[in-house]
Amino acid sequence: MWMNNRAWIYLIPSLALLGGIGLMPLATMINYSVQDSFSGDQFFWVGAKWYQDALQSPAFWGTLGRTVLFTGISLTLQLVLGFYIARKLFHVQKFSSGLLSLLALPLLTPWIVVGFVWRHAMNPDSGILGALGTAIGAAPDLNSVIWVWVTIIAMDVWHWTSLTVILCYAGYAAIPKAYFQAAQIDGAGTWAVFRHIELPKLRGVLVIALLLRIADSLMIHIEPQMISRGGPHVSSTFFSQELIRTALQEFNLGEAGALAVIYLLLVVPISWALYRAMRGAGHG
Amino acid sequence: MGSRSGKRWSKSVLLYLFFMIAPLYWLAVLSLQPNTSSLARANLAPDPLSFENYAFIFSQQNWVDGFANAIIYVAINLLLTLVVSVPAAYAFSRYRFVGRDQAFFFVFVFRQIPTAILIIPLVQMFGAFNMIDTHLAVALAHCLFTVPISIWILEGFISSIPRELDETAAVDGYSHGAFLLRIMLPQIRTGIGVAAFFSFMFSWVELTIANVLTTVNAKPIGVVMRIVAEPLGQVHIGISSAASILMLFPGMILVWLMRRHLARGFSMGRVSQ
Repeated sequence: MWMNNRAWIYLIPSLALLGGIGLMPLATMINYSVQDSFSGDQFFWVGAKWYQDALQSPAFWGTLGRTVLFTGISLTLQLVLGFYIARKLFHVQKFSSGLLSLLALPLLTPWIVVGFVWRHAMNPDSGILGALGTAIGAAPDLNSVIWVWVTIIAMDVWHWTSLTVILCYAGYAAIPKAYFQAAQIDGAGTWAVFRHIELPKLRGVLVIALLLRIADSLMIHIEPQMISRGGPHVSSTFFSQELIRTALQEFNLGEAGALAVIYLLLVVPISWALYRAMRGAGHG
Repeated sequence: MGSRSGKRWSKSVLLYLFFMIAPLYWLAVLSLQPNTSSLARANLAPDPLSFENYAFIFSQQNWVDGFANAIIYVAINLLLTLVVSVPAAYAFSRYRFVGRDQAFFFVFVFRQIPTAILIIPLVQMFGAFNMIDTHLAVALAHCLFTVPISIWILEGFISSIPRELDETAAVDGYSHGAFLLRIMLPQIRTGIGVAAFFSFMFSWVELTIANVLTTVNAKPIGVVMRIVAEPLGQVHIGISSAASILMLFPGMILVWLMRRHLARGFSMGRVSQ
């Protein structure tokens, strides 16, 4: 590493771009969060009112709880399944690198398409999964909380697990062959190899996958909106959906600003902790 | 571990592959049959085969334009992203300077901001500059998400290239700019590909920002699909499926171009130590 503050010259274009486009909107939202507005153009100071309202509102905690619950379930499934599939691809599967291309397709599918195809797939008469369910006596019903949650989680697992697969497969491909040969000579079993070679070597990519997925998962909105429009009642309304509804439909900029700030206070520390973990696991 | 020499088909991988491909296959079926069939029953193959959905899309100027619009702003976004990311990644990789760690996280945090927070202020800001409904506005807004991830990826790739390369080039009389363009860039081709993949994985699939920043001239096809769907109260399955299939093609082309790099490239030069 060369000690040199001239490095900042290389950073000017990117920081100017990010700062120019990103900082003003962020500052605007923070500014809104301490004001109330009449007819969209007259603002007056209300201090911490919106924050107090939000933090004292059961609806807010419900939305936050659902978002965290969804993220927890969905990311756990994605990371475990993704790791497992990558392991099978690496150790067992023929033509594995060719198959990766096929597996990557859901990642590049527009989010609105993801929501659209999964919603129609669950139609009890004409949907591919729905008709199957009806045939075996378990017709899906998108007016039921359980079915909506099952659909949204299955959809998210379908949409994003391949990211973990690709990252973990790359992690596997980077483990020197000598490790596995040495383990084989020592007579190490599958579990020992997994526990002492694969898991430590893949820690870095797993943290990367978590870091990439966690913010997206906490901000999910287009897909569940397509599936259930947040319902029945509010049972599948997540944080970003609530934020968009408050800002664009109720046009309550103050409350939306406060929600945005609370959201950032939640996400930034998590990202920072994962970022530190990643720098620790990687080369720093 | 004895299976490493004789590879075969893994049942779990096949099952997973089926799970990944089946919804897309079914989407193709929906797009290739009349809407009445799609509404009546769940067909496993088009019955009867019909191209009327595609014919409708290609007969409508706003759908065709929507497709072109999305491609234009994604292309602008990729170009902008790479132009500003390569020098930044180089600085983060090669120099230790005051505020390096903080600057790196500052850049990264933009990636974690939910799009929902930004829509209103972005509309106001681009409105003030008279840039609503331009491809550039969408491309710039998407840069907030694509630049951080690209810098992060490229930094990993540049760090995996020995520093001696820089020093040799300096001795040979290359200026910094010429070195970056003519020597470093070819070395990090895979990294550029992976960065482009991740940028595309945001810019092409995202619609919330693209929707609010456009009205007519820069509307992407995904939004056109939603507008057509909503006044009818329900989605037109056939046409929406055909539009969806068309929206998959750029992704398929990208995956095809990246096929050799998917296996190793995504270690991002970070896990190889």
